[in-house]
Amino acid sequence: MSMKDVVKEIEGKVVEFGGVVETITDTAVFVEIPKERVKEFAKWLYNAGAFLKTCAGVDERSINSRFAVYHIFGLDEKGIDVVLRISSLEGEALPSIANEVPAAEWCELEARDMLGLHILGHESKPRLVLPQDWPNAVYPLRKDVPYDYRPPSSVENFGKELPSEVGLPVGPYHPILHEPEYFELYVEGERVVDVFYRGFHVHRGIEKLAESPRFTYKTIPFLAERICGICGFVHSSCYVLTVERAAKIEVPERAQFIRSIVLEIERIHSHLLWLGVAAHILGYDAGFMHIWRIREPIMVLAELLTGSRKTYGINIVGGVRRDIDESKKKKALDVLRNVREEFKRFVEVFTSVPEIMKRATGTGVLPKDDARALSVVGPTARGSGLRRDVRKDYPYFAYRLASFKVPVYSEGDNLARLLVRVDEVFESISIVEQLLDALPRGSIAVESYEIPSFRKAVGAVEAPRGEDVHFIITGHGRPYRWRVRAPTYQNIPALKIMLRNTPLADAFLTIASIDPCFSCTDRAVVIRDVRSGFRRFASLFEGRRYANK
Amino acid sequence: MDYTSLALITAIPFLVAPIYDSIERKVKAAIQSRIGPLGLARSFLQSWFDLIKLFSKELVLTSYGMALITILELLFVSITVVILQIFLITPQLQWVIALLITFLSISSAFSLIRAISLDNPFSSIGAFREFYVTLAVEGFFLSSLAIMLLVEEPIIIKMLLFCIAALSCYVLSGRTPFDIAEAEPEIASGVYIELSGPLLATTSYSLHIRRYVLAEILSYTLLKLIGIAGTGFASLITLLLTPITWIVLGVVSVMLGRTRVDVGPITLLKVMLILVFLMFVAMIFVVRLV
Repeated sequence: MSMKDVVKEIEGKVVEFGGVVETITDTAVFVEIPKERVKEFAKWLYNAGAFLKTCAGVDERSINSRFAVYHIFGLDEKGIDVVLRISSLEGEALPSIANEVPAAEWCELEARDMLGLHILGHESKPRLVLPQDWPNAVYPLRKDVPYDYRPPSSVENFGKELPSEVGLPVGPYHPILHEPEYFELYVEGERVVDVFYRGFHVHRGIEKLAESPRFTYKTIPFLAERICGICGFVHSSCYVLTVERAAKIEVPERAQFIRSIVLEIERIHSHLLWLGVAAHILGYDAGFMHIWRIREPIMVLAELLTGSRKTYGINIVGGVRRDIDESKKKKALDVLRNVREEFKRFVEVFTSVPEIMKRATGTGVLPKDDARALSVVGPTARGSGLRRDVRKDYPYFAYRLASFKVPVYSEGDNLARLLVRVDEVFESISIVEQLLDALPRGSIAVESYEIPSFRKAVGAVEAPRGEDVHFIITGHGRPYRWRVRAPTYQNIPALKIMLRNTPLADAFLTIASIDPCFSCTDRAVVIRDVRSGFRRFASLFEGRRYANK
Repeated sequence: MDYTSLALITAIPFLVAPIYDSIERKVKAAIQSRIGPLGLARSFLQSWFDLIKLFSKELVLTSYGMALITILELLFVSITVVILQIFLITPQLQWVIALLITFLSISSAFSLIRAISLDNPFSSIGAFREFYVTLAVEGFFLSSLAIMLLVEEPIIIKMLLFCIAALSCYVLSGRTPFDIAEAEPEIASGVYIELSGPLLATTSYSLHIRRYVLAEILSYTLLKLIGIAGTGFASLITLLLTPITWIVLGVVSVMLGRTRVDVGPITLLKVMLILVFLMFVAMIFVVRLV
């Protein structure tokens, strides 16, 4: 079926459900459906093979006096996004599609928390994103809330939503969690039977900040890069891709190549880092040290090509700021050749350590059906038999010119996810080599561009952890609304399934197996008061004794 | 032997155990492509520096009982090592062997008591793990050690007994893959989670001494296997062999990952039972021959 036929079929269905097609672009169809029929339409899309990428709540009162929710679906096999808009006046209820599409649960709760939307079915659920001491009726993503608003902290509100029964607390600070996050594992002996999760501890208000007068289209790439300390370039790339799509900016081919090269270098370093962490979790510290030694030349290579080991800062709307010359190209190819050889030797040793194989095999299983329902992404999806990779499904930058395989394993266990990452390192090295060899001549950025207001676009980039999605509604000088959905956001809900019936010892490998990046996931709002955080933490640790003191 | 020499020999383990640990760390670092403790002095004394630093920290007690058990653990492991040194000087005294085995089991029991006495979910899990591992090997270890030290057996039985003792010494030294009771990334150091400052230093020192005891026992049994134990020269060789045994155990641990609690102890138990079965078969064979 051609792209035209797909779009035609969607148009037909939209009309059938009483909706309208707002815009059609090369990569997305924007539609509006009456809220009464949105569940049926979402179900049809889901059954047609679409994955829910995310949803975004938007305060559009200054445009049309309404609040809107944009559900972003991706038809991976067709390579097109369907952006489904529903809207309501303030105080009116909006339907939830979480029963039809389970992956919608989190983003709907986030829209409820951040915009105060009344989404049916979510009324009694605890806060997902906002901290417990955030005041009621203050919704940070509403346009009338200043970006620098700081609410007074109320210690009394802490602890109310926690279950009365205490399981095994993992977090907010735990050796396995390199960022603050809270899991409570309920165990029978050494087997996990249930999990309670509370995240979003490190909100930084980035989406809101980008809408503030302090930022412009030109400076936001540097803000976006600070969403994550490991895959920051993915976020700046995804942001510029989305803005360029919204404004229809033609980026020079050489810049597209450079972006793809740097993205793959970022993937290599991220996967090598993760393999080290996995080895450490499994008590194989020799593997941990050696893989980080192998990773070091990749960091040096990143510095050679971009000027920084991390947070490269070379992305700008319309191109890149730094070129790759012949001498750098030659050095890069030498480094990659050595890394490939060393990594090959490492993998042979690593996969021959009996404890590694025994502990990774058959643990943390995520069945394919659950992976599909939750729309998991990246190695988590590919380890469960889903062939999802944005680089193939929605080719962007220079990926359509590179030849590479998408590694897929059907077992769904920790070993499958580990092997996906191992294979991807080899594929990424190959991609960088191909792109360096074929690097075209020409400029690296457009000279000028204009970004019209109230254009909408969706951009997706394949991060090391999976699909990173950005949604933008353009505004005057800066986005009217910028929504960031990091891959970990999509993968965390799957942990509940993966952790059940897992041996406790392997629960930590299972959590790590999605390569969680909480910094990416959390993004927004407030830093919790340290003292109140400690009081809550202590209470979970048999803290009556401490509390009395 | 004069009192000065006796005092020197019994003092050796208390001084050198942290030094051997420092050397192990340096060797491990080299294998792992790290630098490890920096400089010549630190290569030998880093664990001493760590202990001194921990002792200088503030004392935070979660319970007085906990502190008492920790001190008693150090006391009993110290008595064990003193008896071991006396045994090295006078291997012909059988009551010393009986005492050694008794105090080995008492110090092991105190290690378990410390683990279960902590009121913390992580340490409870760690304590159960320590129980599983100890139960899988302790009985086999003590009985094989007693037979080896008290009876003269044919070489085939000696070899099997040595295998049991060697495997037990490795397991009880708490190295990877059998460090599941602390398993830092999984259960946040498990049995050590509530220990800090001087209390953690005391526990660490106990562990160093315990590792010394196990390394020296393994060295002695090796000499016994090749038939040169029981002389003054053999005692000297044992003392010189102990750091090598310690480092070898450390190097083995670098090559392995941590086992799973539902796999490791059961596998250990199976291996032990197979070794015991082979020993019985060998004994029947030997008896029939006689």
